[in-house]
Amino acid sequence: MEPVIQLEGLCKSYGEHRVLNDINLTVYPGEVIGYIGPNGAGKSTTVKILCGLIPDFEGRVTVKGLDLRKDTLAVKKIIGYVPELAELYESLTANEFLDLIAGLYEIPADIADQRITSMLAAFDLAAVANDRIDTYSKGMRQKALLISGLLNNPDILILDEPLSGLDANSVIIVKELISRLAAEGKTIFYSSHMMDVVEKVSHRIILLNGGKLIADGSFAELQGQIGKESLETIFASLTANTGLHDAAAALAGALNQSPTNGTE
Amino acid sequence: MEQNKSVPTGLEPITRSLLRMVLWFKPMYQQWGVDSHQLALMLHYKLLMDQRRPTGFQQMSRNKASKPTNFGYAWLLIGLVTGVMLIFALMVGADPVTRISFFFSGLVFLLSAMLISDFTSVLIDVRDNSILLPRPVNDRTLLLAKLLHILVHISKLLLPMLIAPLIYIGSEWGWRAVFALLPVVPIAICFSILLVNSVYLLVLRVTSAEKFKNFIAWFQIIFAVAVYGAYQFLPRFTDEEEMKSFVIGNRGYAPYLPPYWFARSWDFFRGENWLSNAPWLFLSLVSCALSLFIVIRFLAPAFARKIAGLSGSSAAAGIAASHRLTARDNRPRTKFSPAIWISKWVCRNPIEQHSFLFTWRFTGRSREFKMKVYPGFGYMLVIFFMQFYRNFKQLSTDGPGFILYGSIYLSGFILISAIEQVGHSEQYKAAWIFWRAPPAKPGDILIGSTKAVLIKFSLLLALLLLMVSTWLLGPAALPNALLAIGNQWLVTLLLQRRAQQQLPASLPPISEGKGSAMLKTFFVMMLLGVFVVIHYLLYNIPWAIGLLTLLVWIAVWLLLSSIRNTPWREVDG
Repeated sequence: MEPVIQLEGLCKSYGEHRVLNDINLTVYPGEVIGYIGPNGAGKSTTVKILCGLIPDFEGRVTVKGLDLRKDTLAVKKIIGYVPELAELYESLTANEFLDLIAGLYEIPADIADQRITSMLAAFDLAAVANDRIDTYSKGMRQKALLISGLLNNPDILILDEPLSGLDANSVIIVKELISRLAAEGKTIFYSSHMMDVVEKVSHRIILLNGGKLIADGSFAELQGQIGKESLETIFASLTANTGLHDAAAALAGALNQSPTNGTE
Repeated sequence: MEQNKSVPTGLEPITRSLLRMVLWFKPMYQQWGVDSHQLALMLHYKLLMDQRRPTGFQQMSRNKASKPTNFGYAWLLIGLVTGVMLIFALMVGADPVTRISFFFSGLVFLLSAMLISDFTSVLIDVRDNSILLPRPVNDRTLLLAKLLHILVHISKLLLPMLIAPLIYIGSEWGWRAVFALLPVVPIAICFSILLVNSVYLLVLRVTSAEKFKNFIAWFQIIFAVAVYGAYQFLPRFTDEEEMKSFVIGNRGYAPYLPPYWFARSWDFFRGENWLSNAPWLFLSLVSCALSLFIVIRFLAPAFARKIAGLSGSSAAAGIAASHRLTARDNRPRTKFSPAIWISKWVCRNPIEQHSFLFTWRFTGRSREFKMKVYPGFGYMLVIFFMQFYRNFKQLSTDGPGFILYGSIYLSGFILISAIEQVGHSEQYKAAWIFWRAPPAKPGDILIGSTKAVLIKFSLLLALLLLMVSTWLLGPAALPNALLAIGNQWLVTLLLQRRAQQQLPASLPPISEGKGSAMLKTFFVMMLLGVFVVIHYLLYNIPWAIGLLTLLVWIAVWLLLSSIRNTPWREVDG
């Protein structure tokens, strides 16, 4: 099978600080990749490079055989991206906002209309489709953002904390959607700190720490290798530099300290 | 692509016509590598968003609208009034070309000021990072969309601004002169836009995104002060007769001034001296096209990359922050801070002290606060020098007299604007911390914040002026200077006390020209004016000044005490 994403020797530095260090990764169609790591591990940087937002990286990135550096626009056309904590043009209505996004992907008007209407209805936003986004709740905004990432029917869907702010029913819809899209042969790059969700939706889990890839395999494989029960404990055993219990104790202890004698 | 049927509202007719006009040049844009379909789409929606952005007048009646609402026609009135100012430029000079050169200078200046104040946010709209940049849109299309967006919006604002000057030109030189101006004005607009944007883009090329934000803030502050200074000084430093007989064409530097090129182009269109004017028209057109070409071709690629770094949550910013955190781990945590030192002297309890420190830091670090208040220091300096310049003769014979006390009153404008702005911030929602675990009374928070503003934006400057007054006029000046400071504080505290109290940075930004804010400011200015007049009438009567000073400071003390006792129900939020 032809790989859909290939990262070869991917490095990225900000000043003297190396954020990504020699990342090599091959992803195949239909895979759901759980992309996890502690804060500052380099997840967002990888995602932004894949979306063509950071052009000055070292190494080679190919998406469906296209060189990201040379064919940035062609790559952007086949990727759908739902960023974390993204802003929206709030004075537009959901219909207008999605029409703009559809236009930028040059989706024909009739197809765009039909997709926008169906997706808004599926997410229960049909009644407020012509209301301004600044009147939406956090969950409604997240739904609009999810639709904007799916609108171009992308081959690769990159989701950065996509469940943020969603109610329980919408979470079920999104999880089910991920499975269906994967079954259709689409690749999903799922970045999140919610370990239980990553554990359930991902076919393959990639763990990044300090800019390096430190684990790669299915949940069952990681369980076998590391001998822990949940993804949360696997994550902690591979990434925590100091004891997490010690850190919690230090936080609680800080409340009991006084400046003169150390403890009250 | 045909227009989506779901779009419920369209553009105003004027905006739509202007949009059509800029899109006439689609073939040229395509030649430069721009996607004209995406360009038109982005322009349409960006202009629609502008239309829904409320201006000051409309915010008075604005409730949070659930349906798309347009805020249309206030720009018309503002434009008409601004246009009248341009007539003054048309009165300078002996010949038509000189007078039109001054008109274009004024126009370019006005446009640049509008661009700097209004359109910096268009050029570097950080929302575009997550909305537009991940889409298949190339850098040139993105930048041209921004430039044309600015062009359409500015042209819309300019139309009513041209009405008064065009009537004047028509009455002076006939209808032909009016029509001759029409093709030249778009050239001047393009020139202004490219001038301001070239500076921005050049700076963006050589600096980091974070420094660029600071650069823009200081650029705007200095520009505002320079405009004000030029407006105040230029007419007074030049001889009126000389201005009337001035002919720009006789000066060797004229060929280097773009407004002169535009004036000669106008002369060409009204059918005068075709042969000698044609090269100037050519120069105007070529310079515009060339600068647009340079901006799109050479500055656009860096632009998209740099604005991607402008988002507060960017990877680079996060990493830089974590680096600083690591670097600071080994440093001692306490170093001398004047704010902490002052707060220990003037605050009674920890809540008051922390509120003092929060306000001190907020007013020194918030870009929006600095933009609104700091130009006041520049304006004051200009007015201060103006006063000395105007009254130079009187000063040399009678001494500085009331002018020095007048300067203390003038510095009151900075204080008033600081006290008005300190309650407002883009991040006003972060003020939940004050409500989360509220003290029994908000008075300590309010008084700490008020003290910080009084000391930072009045006391330090007032002490300086007090010392100057005492040095120039002797110890007798002390009660007068103290009275002036007391009056300034009294008016400021009255302003704060008469309405709902505001916790620091706890309310959304005030819109310019908002009805209640304007009325409040007007009331305060009137009151301060009354105090100045009373002080002026009495300033040579020592016993009266002594008594007034005492009374005013007692009133200040009482007002400060009443702020300390404010209950929660009187706090706005």
